[in-house]
Amino acid sequence: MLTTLFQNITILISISVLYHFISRSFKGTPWAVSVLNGVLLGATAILAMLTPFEIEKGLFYDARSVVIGIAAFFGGPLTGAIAAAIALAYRILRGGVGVVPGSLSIVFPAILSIIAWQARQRYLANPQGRKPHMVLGTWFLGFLIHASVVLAQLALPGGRWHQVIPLMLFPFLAVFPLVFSLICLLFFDNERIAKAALDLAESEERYRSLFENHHTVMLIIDPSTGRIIDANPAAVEFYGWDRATLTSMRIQDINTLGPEEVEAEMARARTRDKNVFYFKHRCANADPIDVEVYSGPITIKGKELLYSIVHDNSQRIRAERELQALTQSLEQQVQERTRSIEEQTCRLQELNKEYEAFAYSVSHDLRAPLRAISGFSAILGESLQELGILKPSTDQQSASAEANTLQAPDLAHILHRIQSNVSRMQQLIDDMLMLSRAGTRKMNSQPIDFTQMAREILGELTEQQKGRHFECTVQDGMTAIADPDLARILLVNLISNAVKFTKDRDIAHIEVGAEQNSDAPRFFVRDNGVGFDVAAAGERLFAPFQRFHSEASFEGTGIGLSIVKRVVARHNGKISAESAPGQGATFYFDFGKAK
Amino acid sequence: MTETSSHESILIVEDNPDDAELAVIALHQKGINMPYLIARDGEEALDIALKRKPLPDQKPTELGLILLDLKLPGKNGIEVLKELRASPNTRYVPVVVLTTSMLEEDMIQSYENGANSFVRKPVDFATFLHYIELICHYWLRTNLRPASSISQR
Repeated sequence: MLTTLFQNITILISISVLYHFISRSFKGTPWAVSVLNGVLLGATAILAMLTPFEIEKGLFYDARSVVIGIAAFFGGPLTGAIAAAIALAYRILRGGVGVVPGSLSIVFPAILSIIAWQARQRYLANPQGRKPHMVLGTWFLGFLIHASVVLAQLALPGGRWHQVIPLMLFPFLAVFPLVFSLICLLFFDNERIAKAALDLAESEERYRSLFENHHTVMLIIDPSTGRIIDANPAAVEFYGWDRATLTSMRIQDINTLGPEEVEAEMARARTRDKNVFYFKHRCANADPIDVEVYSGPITIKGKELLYSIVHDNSQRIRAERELQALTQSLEQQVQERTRSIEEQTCRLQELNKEYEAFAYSVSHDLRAPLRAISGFSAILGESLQELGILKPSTDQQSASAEANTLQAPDLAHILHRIQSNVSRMQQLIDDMLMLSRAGTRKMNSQPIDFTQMAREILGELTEQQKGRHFECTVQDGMTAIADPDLARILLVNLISNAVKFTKDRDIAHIEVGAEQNSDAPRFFVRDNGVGFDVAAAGERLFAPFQRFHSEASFEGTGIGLSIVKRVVARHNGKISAESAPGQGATFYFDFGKAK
Repeated sequence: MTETSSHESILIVEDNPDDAELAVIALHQKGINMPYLIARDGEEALDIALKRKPLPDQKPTELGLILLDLKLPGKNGIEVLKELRASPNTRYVPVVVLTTSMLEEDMIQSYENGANSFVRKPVDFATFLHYIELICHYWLRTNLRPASSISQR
């Protein structure tokens, strides 16, 4: 009995190999697998029935229940049904007293296993909850199957079950469930191996497709020789050689570096010393292209190879170069601009020096001839007096009617005109010099007592005007931050204007004051003189050599206000005027922001 | 001013002939009848003052006063002044700088190098006459050198 039991087990084990061979071979068509396995297991069931342990003639027991259980539990309803049908046909054909329980011994295991198969499929589809215990679960299924076989013996005719069932208890309830469980484990293992192989194939397929279908250029290189083992279609497109050509080339043929350098770089990639490289790669029909290569070791089938992912870097490099060129040209432009500004500053300084030298010459060289004219005309006058041609009278008695010295009064007049023109010329030179000084002299801003300065200047200037009546007001406590010499020049000019243009007034009012602005005081010099039309004067008011009154009525060079304007400008201040003809004038000015 | 010692003369250092002539006329008008010499540039002034060359038409005389212009062709007034002060013969001769220069720096340099006075030439002739009178009155009469320095010659 044990011998046949082991024979049955052996059959089942060998069948498991065949079963999985079929499963692998026909995995494309699942129904074919089911049918073939059904037939195979049906045949196995027959085989099992051929090696029975017969209790008496026509009453034999075997491992068909195990085979049918396996068929249905692993193969599913179709396989189980086919195997059961084949086994059933055989059993019925064989006949005997045990035909009914024998048939039931096929049908019950099939039904139970199909139910178990469904439960397992549900679990696999949605593996939630506790994982069923493989050994216990399959043993329990085996126990149920064989319990059903034992119960089927109740259908034996003539109450034979009394004799039979006790005999069956040991093999069917002790041995067969264990055998079933054992074989299930074998099948599980095979299933797992098959699944692993499938997973591997799938994963290989995935990675293969990653290599084949990716738009990134990829190469597999043998680092010992540099031979290109594989190249993906993107590489074929990129390099312009077909795959066969590419895989017959070495990376040294593509890289523009020398072979030794390429080998050195490959060594670095292999040891992971470096994984990003910047090369130039040759192509079939284009100039070498700048590429960025990510490379590293990869082991394929036990052989250490290099994978290389190649990016076309030419556009980026071109953009970088353009950017660099742009930056350079920008820097160059800045430098040129700076240089030209420096040159201009230099030139300006030179001009300033020239201007100062010119001003000096003006003061010196123009004065000399003036002195000569003044001196010699004075001497001429004296000589004429000595000769009696000119009367020693001092001033214009112009309409003298003395007949024989007709020219005498004219001569005196002429000499007087020469002298007054000399003075005027001298004044002009002095003013021009002052104007140039106001523009070029070094600034030395400091706090000044503006009230004191204004009082002094007013005193000096009004004192010279004998016989005139002045009423002057100077605001107390005015201070300013300015260059003292320039501030004095400014005040002298404004106050002397005020003195000059009030000469027709019975009482000349001159006022110097300040208004407190937000950050710096705004000073003013006000008079009640003849005034002028501000609108008509416009910009010309502060331009040099501009006069708004006739030379005869008010002498002057027309430079005074230019000097004032220049002084204010040197301090970054502002100047403005308020006036109307006959209404007097007020000049407002400040010395810029106090620092 | 007739009593001014007759053996002394005035040296006018002036490159501008007009200015030189005006100076001479001014001296004459103010009755300073001392002999005068005119040097047209710095070298000539030093030739005369330091007696480096014999004067062709005049006997060598002692200088009582030097009127010195600053802007001269070649050696300028300040350089002339330095050399005058460096020589024992002219160290004590009064030097009045008479110039057109408006620069403060020129005045400072003049005094630093031993000028006795610094006078800006006025354009107005009457003023010039007045200045010349004052200068000569002071340096030729009021401020005569002590006898010892004269004997130095």
